[in-house]
This record gives sequence, C-alpha cells and structure tokens, in this order.
Amino acid sequence: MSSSTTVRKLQVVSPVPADIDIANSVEPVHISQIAKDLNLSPNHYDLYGKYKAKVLLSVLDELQGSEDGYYVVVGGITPTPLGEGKSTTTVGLCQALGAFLDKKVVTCLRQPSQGPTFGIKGGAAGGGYSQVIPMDEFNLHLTGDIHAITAANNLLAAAIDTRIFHESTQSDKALFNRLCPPNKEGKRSFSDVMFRRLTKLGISKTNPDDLTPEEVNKFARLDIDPNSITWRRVMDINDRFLRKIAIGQGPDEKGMVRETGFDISVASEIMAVLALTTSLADMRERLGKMVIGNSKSGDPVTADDLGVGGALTVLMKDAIHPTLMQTLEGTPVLVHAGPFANIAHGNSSIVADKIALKLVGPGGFVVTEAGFGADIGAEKFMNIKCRYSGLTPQCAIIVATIRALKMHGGGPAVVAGRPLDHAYLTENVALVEAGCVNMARHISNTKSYGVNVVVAINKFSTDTEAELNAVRSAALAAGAYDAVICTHHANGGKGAVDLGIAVQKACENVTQPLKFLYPVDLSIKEKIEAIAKSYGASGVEYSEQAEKQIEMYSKQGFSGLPICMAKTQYSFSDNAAAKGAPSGFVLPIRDVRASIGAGFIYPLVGTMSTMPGLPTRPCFYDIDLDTTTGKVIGLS
Amino acid sequence: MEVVIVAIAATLGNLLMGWDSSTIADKMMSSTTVRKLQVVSPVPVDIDIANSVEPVHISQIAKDLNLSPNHYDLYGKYKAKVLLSVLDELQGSEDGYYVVVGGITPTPLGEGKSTTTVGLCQALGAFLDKKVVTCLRQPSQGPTFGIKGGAAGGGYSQVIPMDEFNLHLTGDIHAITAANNLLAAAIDTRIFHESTQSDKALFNRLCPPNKEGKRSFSDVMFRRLTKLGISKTNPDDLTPEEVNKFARLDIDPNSITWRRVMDINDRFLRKIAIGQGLDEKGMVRETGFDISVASEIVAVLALTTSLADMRKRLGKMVIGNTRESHFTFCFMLDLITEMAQETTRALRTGYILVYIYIYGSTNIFKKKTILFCFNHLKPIFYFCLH
Repeated sequence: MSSSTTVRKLQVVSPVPADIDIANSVEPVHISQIAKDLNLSPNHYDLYGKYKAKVLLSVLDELQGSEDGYYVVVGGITPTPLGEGKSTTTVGLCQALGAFLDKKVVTCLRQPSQGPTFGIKGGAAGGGYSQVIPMDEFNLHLTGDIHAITAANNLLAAAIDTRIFHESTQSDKALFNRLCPPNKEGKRSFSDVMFRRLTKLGISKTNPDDLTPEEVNKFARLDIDPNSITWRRVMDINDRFLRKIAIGQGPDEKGMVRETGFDISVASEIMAVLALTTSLADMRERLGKMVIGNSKSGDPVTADDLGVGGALTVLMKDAIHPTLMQTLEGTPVLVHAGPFANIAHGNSSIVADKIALKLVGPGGFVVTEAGFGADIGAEKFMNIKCRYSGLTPQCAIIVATIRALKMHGGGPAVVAGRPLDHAYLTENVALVEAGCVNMARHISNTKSYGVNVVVAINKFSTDTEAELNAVRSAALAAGAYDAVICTHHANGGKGAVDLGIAVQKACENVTQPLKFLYPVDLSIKEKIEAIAKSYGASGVEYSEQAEKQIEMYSKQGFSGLPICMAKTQYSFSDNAAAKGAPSGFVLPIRDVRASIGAGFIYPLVGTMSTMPGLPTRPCFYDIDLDTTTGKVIGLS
Repeated sequence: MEVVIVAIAATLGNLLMGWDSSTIADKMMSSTTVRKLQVVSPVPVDIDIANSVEPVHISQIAKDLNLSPNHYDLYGKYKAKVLLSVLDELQGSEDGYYVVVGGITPTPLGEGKSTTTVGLCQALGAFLDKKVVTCLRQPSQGPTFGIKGGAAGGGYSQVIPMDEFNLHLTGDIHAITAANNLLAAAIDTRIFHESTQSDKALFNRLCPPNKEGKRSFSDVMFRRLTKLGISKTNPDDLTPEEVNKFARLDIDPNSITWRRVMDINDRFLRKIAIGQGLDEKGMVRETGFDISVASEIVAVLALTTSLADMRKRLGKMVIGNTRESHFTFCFMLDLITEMAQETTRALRTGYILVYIYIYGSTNIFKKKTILFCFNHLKPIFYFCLH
C-alpha cells in the first residue's frame, strides 16, 4: 500500500462556519495528485481544469484482474424536508477511513442537479467539515454531464414531433425518398441505425431499392400515436411553468398542437441509462431501446426507430466517464450521474462504482450514497443497481438524526424555510424513542438483503447524551450490527472514526449472500406488491390507468424488468404526513410508466411532480461572484 | 478566472504575437507543433480527414504560444481554457495584426468563410512561419444534428478534433442555456408569487429573519434599492410604500421579450403556451424557445471585456416592462364592467365569472369582479385575459 501524499487532517473551528466558507478555506490538491495516489496513469484520465478529471472507462480493462474492495451503501431513515445528512455522513466516513484510519477509499456520489442549487435546497457536496471540493464546481456544471443529458433528451423530443409532422405532410414514397436519398451516383443506402428498424420489422433486405411498397410503408411510417407519447423535454432549472405546456402553436406547424411538459433533467430516462450502464456498447444499446410512445397499432416506438440512437450516444460519449474530485481532507471522490430518488432510481453510476472498487483493491472501501430514506434509495440500490451491476455490497449504513426521529415520534411538522419548533431544540427522550419505529423498520428491511447494517447517528448541537444513547440502544435492539454517534459535520473525518471502525468490522463479518426482494420473473403486480409489503402496506390498489399500462407493458414483453417506485420520500406510505412506521394502509398506484432503455418499470404512487418550482426567494438571491477573485459567493 | 476562448482570444492572440515579436525581435521562435499536410485527391469527407490527423496535445500548443500552465486549464487532451488572467500578465505587450474575414452575400450552402479563415491561418503558420491565432465562434449543436452539419472548416482546412469542436466543446453554450432559462423561470415565478401574496408576505419572504430575528438585504437587492432611489440598508426601516415598490416588480406579461432557449433545432417550441398546470392557477402565457445562440447572454459573452463587466451586463439585461398603463387599463375595465352589467340585464344568458387582479398604488383597483356574457362579449373577454 503506497502511502498517500494528499490526505491531511483538518483544523476545525467552532462554531461551524458556513459550508462555502469552509470549502473556500481549504486549498484543493491538484487533481493529478489525487489520481496518482490511486495509481491512475495519465492515459486513464482527462483533466478538466486543475481540480477535476474524468476517469476513462479504459482503466477497467487495465484492472480487470484486480479484486474488488469493500462496497458500502449509505441510506437513511425517512427524512425531514431539511435532510438528515446522508451526503455529509458519506463524505465524513470517507475522510475518516482515508485520513485517520489509513485505508484506501473512494467516495461515489451523484452529481447534483442545478435546479435545487438555485431553488430552495442548496447544494449537495456534504456540509460543514465533510465536503467535496471545490464546492462551486461540484454544484454547478461539473464536467457537463447533465448538460449532455439535456441536449440528448431534447434532441429525441424534437425528433418525435418533427417525425410526426413530416409523416403527416408526405406520402410514403416522398418519406422514403428523403430517408434514403440517392447519392451522387444515384445509389441509395441504409444508415446503420436504419438496419435496427429493419431487423425489428423482420425485413432482411439491405438495398433500399428492393423494398416493396408495403415494406416502404412499414419502414418509413412510425405512425406514432400522439396521445401515447411519454417522452418529455427536460431542463436543469426549476421552472414550474413548464410542467404543462402546449407546443406547436406556430402557423408553420399546421395546427399540430400537442400538450406536453418539461421535467427536470435528472428525471430524464437518459440519466437513468447513464447511471445503470456498464460500458459504451451497453449504453448505445440502452439509448436505442428507449421507448418514447406507441404506434397507433400499439407497438412500442424506440429511439432507434426514429434514427437518433447513434446521435444520442455521440452526445453522451464523454458523459459516460466519471469525474474525479476530492474531499476536504484529500480523499478521492468519483461523481457520476444523478437521478432523483423519488422519481427515478436515486443512485450514482455503476461504472463509477466498478472503477472505484478496482482502484481501492482488496481491503479498500468504496462508499456510495443512495438517495432519501432506505425505503427509496437503498431499496433501488439493491433491487435495480446491484442486479444490473452484479456487484455485492457488504455493509449498509442508515443515517439517523434526533430531529427526524422526533418528527416520527409525533413531533410538530418540519417545514423547510421555517424555524424549528422548540420540541426539536430541547431534550425529549420519550419522543425520540417513539420515533425509533421508523429506524427499526429501515434496519429490518435493509438486513433482509443480507448486508450488515450500521446506524450512523448524525449528532446535532441540540442533541443530548440521553437522546443519542436511546437511539443507539434502539438500533442495536432492532438488529443493527452496530450504532455509532458521529460528529463529522463539526469535526470532519475525526468525527466519524468510530463509524469507520464499525463499518470495517461490518464488512469483514458478512455471513449472508446478497438477496433481492423479488425475482424479476414475477409479474409486474407481484413485484409491486413485494415492495409495498416492505413499506408496511396491507395491499395495493391500481387505478384504471395503471391497470391499462401494466397490461400494455406485459403484452409488449417488458414484464421482466425490475420495479422503480416513484413515491414520496417523506413517508413509508403514499401519505407524506404519515410518520413513524405506518402499516395496514393500501398503496394506491396511480399510473405506471416504463424506462425501457434504463431497464425498469416505474409505478407512480400518489401524485409526483417531475419538475420542481421556485419559491418567492430562491437561493439565487444570495449567489454572486467576486469579480476580482472569481470566487463564488453565497452558494449553500 | 476563466472565460471562453471566443470572447477574448482575439485580443489575447494579438497580445501574444506582439509580446513574442517585441521580446525576441531578432530571433523568431521556431514552432514545434506546426506541420504540413499530405493531401489526397479527390478530397475525402471532412470527418475522415479530421480523423486521419493525430492532434498534438494541447499543452504543447499552449507552450508554443508561451502560455504558462498557470494561465490555462486543460479540458481533456486536446482542449484548454485560456484564463483571463493572462491579459494582466501581458498588459505591456503590443498587439499583432488583426484581420477579419467576411464574404459576399451567401447561398444557403455557405461560401467557405470558415474554411478560408482556417486555411489562411494554416498558410501563415505552417508555410510562412508566422505567429498566428485563429479566433472562431463556437458552433451551435442544433445545425450539427439538423441539416447544415458542423462548422469546423472543411476539407484540408479544419479545426480538430472535429467532433469536440462541434459538440459540447467546453460547455459554454450549455452554460448559456442554463443561465437564460434560469432567468426565464425567475420571471414567470415572480409574476406567480406576486399574484398570490400581499406586499407584507412577499417582503417577509424576500428578507426573512435569521435565527436571531434580524433581517438583511442580499447584495443583489441593493441594486434594486438604488434603482428605486431608496438609500436605507435595514429592511425594517422601509415604509409600506417602499416595501410595495421594492417587493413588487409588477411585470406586464404582454411586454416580456425574454424567451427560453435550447441548443436543439425544435420547430415545435417556436410558439408554445406555458403555465397550463392546475397549480399555476390559470396563469397561461404564450411564449416560445429560441436556439441558444440567439440568447442575449451569448451577445453579452461576445462583447464583454472582463468578469466585472460581464457581471454588470448580465444584471442590466431587460426582460420586459412594468405595467405602466395600469390607469388606462383600469379605466377601460370600468367601462367593460358597465357594458357587461347592461348586457347581462338584457340577455341573462351564458354567464362566466372572471376575477381580474390589478396592481397599482391605488387600493380601489386591487380587485374587481366582472360578470361577462360570454356569447356576446367574447372579444372583450379575450382582450382582458390576454
């Protein structure tokens, strides 16, 4: 094990300053040094400025024979709107493992969406003395992956409407003539992507001139049913006025008005493809297989049918490489992909995890974060991500806070942007204990996958010893492998050393294989019901629309895909106000969608918005630039 | 600090050439990266030519320009961002020659200005042994996937790597798209919030008390206060009238010129109606998307001279107007009220109820309920709603 030359221990100040001030007080190491400590050669990464690099997928070929390190996933209890510090805990744990316990470690995080950064939540680089730096580069643009997703998603959207338009104004012959125009010698040919459609249609001819008129019609006309289009445009800005829009109102569009809307970019299926793909060839296949809607005869229409699968791959070819950054204490971080957890599968990418596990090697640690509570992020980590990656985690961490547990115990509502009720600022052991039922269920659910569960109690300044010890006792009673009180927000890695030791022991003492909640060969309904049972539901009810969609996806051959529930992150149930560990409720499935390229079926529980809005006073009021130094001001 | 090469490279390139010639006047430094091409006839397609040449690592290109690593950031192996700080370093240097390439009125196919620009620079640098920098616009992605194809020159006169030139580059157009659309979202959201809240509630949210109960203005808010002629620095000191002026932008939706953008050719977004969701409470508005390079922010980027100058220009962009004509509008509204009442009494059919909120300094116009006979007053109905 080579000794790291970039890891350092922080000098902390109390009380804890603002995140941006802490981030700006530490000079990052040049990222080539971080790469060197991971034994990455310059051939295997591309610099993006001084503090970011893209690690190329080619490094996996080089490290094919290496063994993997330990694989740790960080989830949480059901959160308050303020968040319980999963990102901070993930970073703090890695700073502890790397800077204090002298372990090889890589943190794998999602790239934050820009929407919340300028909206209400602020950034996602951790907090206090446990952060990814440079903070402004982490929260804005990064290396342009989300921009690439936005461009690719909207290229496909434009292709859909334009194709409908052109088919409505041209004959079969004219369409075909334009799709396969003769070259200067008068010879026609199919482009590569067209052969995919021909194969799908069962046409084995290779010369366009050989097609019969009937074959020309089938090939040239996608015959898209506008009412079936599920593909929406995206942008990475919180803009509620684009949730529902009418497009095509210009006179040149000849009355082809259609209702649609924008999602936020990280809700795009392309983001999920990026997170779940395992190679460039796999990404090309997944992008081409994305289903945008149906033909009028009920057949699924794919990106490859529209001819755009290859172009999407070109737009995404650099985005497939994860971005290397660092923590405040100099440990390496791979940032890649960022699907939301409540409306997508909420985990960073498989390729980043695979690269990291090889780089740290046996005895090293890869720590990744799953979004929101363990019923959402960790469930999808296990049942979707691990199924596709083939990787096996050893340990799952569940982050808990006294604040959230009090809320679950019956405390007053916690509202973002409003001061906390005094119940959260004064000792109340009984309230905490009453709320531990939520944590207990998360522990039980997570243990069922075969991993050892460690509870990380993220200590706030208002927490008392009695409250913290009550949580620790409850966690151990619920079956946690260990439960540790952490102060990494205030103390950096030093505050998570005990957690690091507990995680190491948990990883070294795994006794069970990974076990999924459901096999994929069950029907769509049976898989939904298995997940609903883990939420504590007594049953599931399907709307008429959901029934129709399930029947259609099953008929189209997509019933073998895993399930990605879109559910509120604030409760096990569909009712955000039902705190604690609700049970006996019926889970209402309002609609069912599919991300065929990403590879999951997507039931919608209750009402979920895929485009957030902006408040009266968005975060952008505080964000500015010191034009003398170029430093970002007011980024939270 | 860093900006795109397109914004400052013209000045930078000339500064670099001047610097070199003034300090090594009698000994022109020989370039180690310039080479002469072996050409094939007939000319292959652009992408095949581009792929047949191995680019030099961009740090070598930078070295030939006497750029130190402190003054540029690598973006992969073949692209780098030249930082604005190099201008400070070269402040005393003289400029080189400055040449602009234009053209006759073109055909739709283009006449080869980009190709000529690149070809000329290849001649000056590779064959005439001159220090030379080419300054080009970043191509939009829309045409790349549409009909025109790329813009890296053509044939044996190209910028390479061609694919990196035509797609993403270093993300500048993506940044423009995000910035433009953040402003667009802020406009509609502000109109929405002003329509649903009182002056006091708006102000309370714009300047919320911190944990110690103290309010403060953020830096950007002082710009608005200055514009309004309010010199107070403590939010609690504002009079109710000042609160109203500060908190209410009172944007006239019909005056909004700011459109959203995206860097994809998408004709179906030329004219759209936004705000059709139920939660947007009927605030539907017609607007549309331009392609990203049509954004005013691209023009700001192209014309700015420094980071401080860019900050000023971005803040000064005008998105529309306030409702200056509210008295006229309210006057017409009174007439319409009377017309509607008369018609209602006469016809008593097809009623529709419309609430119209008017914002101005006079409370009497805060809210009016108008009863319309839809069948007969449809033109007036549409006028009032749009």
